[in-house]
Amino acid sequence: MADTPRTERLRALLLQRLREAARVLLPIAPETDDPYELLDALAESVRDTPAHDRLWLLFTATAGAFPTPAQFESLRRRLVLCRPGEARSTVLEETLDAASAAGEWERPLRVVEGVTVVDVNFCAKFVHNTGIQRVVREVIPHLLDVATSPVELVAWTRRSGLLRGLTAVERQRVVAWRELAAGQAPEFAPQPEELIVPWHSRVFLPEVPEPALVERLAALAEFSGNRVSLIGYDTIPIASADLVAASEAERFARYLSVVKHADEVVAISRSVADEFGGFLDALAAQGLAGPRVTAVPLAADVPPQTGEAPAETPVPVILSVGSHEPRKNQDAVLFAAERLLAEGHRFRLVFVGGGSRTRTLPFDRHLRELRARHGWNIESVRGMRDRELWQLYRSARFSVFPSLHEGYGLPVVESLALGTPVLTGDYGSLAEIAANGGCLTVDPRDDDAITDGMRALLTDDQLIARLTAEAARIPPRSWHDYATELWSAGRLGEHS
Amino acid sequence: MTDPGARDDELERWLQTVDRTTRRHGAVDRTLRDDRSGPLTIPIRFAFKVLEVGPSRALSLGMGVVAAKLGRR
Repeated sequence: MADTPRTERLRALLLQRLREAARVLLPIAPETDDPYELLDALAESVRDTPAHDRLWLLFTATAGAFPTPAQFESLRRRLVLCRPGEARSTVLEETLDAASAAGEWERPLRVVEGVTVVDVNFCAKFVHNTGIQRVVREVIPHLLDVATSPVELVAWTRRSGLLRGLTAVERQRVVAWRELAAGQAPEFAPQPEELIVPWHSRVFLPEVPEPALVERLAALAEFSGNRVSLIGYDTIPIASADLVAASEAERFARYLSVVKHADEVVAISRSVADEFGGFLDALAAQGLAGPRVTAVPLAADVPPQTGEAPAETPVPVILSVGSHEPRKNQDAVLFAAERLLAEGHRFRLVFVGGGSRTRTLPFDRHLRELRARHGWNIESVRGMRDRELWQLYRSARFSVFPSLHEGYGLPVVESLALGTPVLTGDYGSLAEIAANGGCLTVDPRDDDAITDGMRALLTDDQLIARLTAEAARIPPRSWHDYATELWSAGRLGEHS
Repeated sequence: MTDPGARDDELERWLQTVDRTTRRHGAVDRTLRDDRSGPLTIPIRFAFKVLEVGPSRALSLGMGVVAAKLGRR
């Protein structure tokens, strides 16, 4: 049967991949240019010593895609049962679906050993920048600084089958975001276009992976012999499923199949560590121990104040920052504000943050009606630059963040870092932050408590002075501090 | 002993099957999903994103792209 040029290229790629696998799987790799012969040697060797990590690597190198748990188990069982001489055919049969549906056949593969492989797939490919993406883009440049062993930043191939190195543009999006946003990003040299397969390495997941990646990541965590560490942001989609879209709950439930086989979860607060601890307790019913969970609180870098202090405002400014969704409890803040304005208090309330139009349109319409009917100074701003937001924080009398469930509470930390007291929730991660000072805490489910808290902060100058002084005493915590502790707590430099 | 002709056929069939299926996807992916694809492909890329993650999340991602391009949140 004559080879077409295209299949000749695939044959050459297969040979290159199998050679990479043979380098670590065989004591002496056969000198051959025939992929079939090399596959034969590898398959027979793995059939003789069918350790999970060896099976996983053989599958990956042959298919050009990581196996799913089902694909892995099928190959393992068939290899154990097959007779001598049948192993290569078994491997070809068992990898065909993955090679066709998810395999990458355009670039060579590199097996990396003793490396920290950081999966920044979403931040590399998209410019979306809220929540998790902000954390990733702040911390990764510092993580590269504090790393004590080699680090590879990776994304997934187009068909979500395998990891690959970043392009120069993708690298900009991840490690030079601030410069990119300011139009001053440095140019990065083009990297070799190659697939990256971790071997006895550390795989670090600072993002919550897309659903299409979860199965292969779960198999990697369970079978590949690599250690997996991840940042635990929260369990909101499960624990507060009533406050999020159903698709988010399903997506997160699938993500937990990776978490349960990971080695380290670095939670962004003690409260989140407790949430993941609850999941770990549930794993006993599956006979699994689950990962070790530690807590490393996030950071908040805000620019030092330069120039003049903010001008006095004609009426006190109250600031409410956060994406517009039920969990953030903006409706309760607005309700409290309406009551206080009706009592005769005078202030300006500004909501900052984007959100789904199904939520923001009726909310903004209601604000327009209040302005028209009563002349009340309440507004919402959808899309504000950080610089403008920081200025607004500095000019505010206090900010309000009575979220119903938070993993951390960046708006609280940013407000305190800018010297502005906060009215916030009295449990979970928000109470943790509030314990450092600068906050008045209330039950966010109690409208009366929110109203009373806002009234106190509006009218009690001594309270504001005390909280402002407390906020000024909170030691600054930088992203470099966070990266240093993350590297250690996540054991990111330990590879086996 | 394996018959060399039979073994070549086995690998060749495997490679040809892989080639057939990957070739179909490759052209579309290269045209539409690379950073190199131009702005004219944005509507089609958005349609693909809708198929991939659903309309609500696709719209949210799209708005995020616009906000990030403007450096806003």
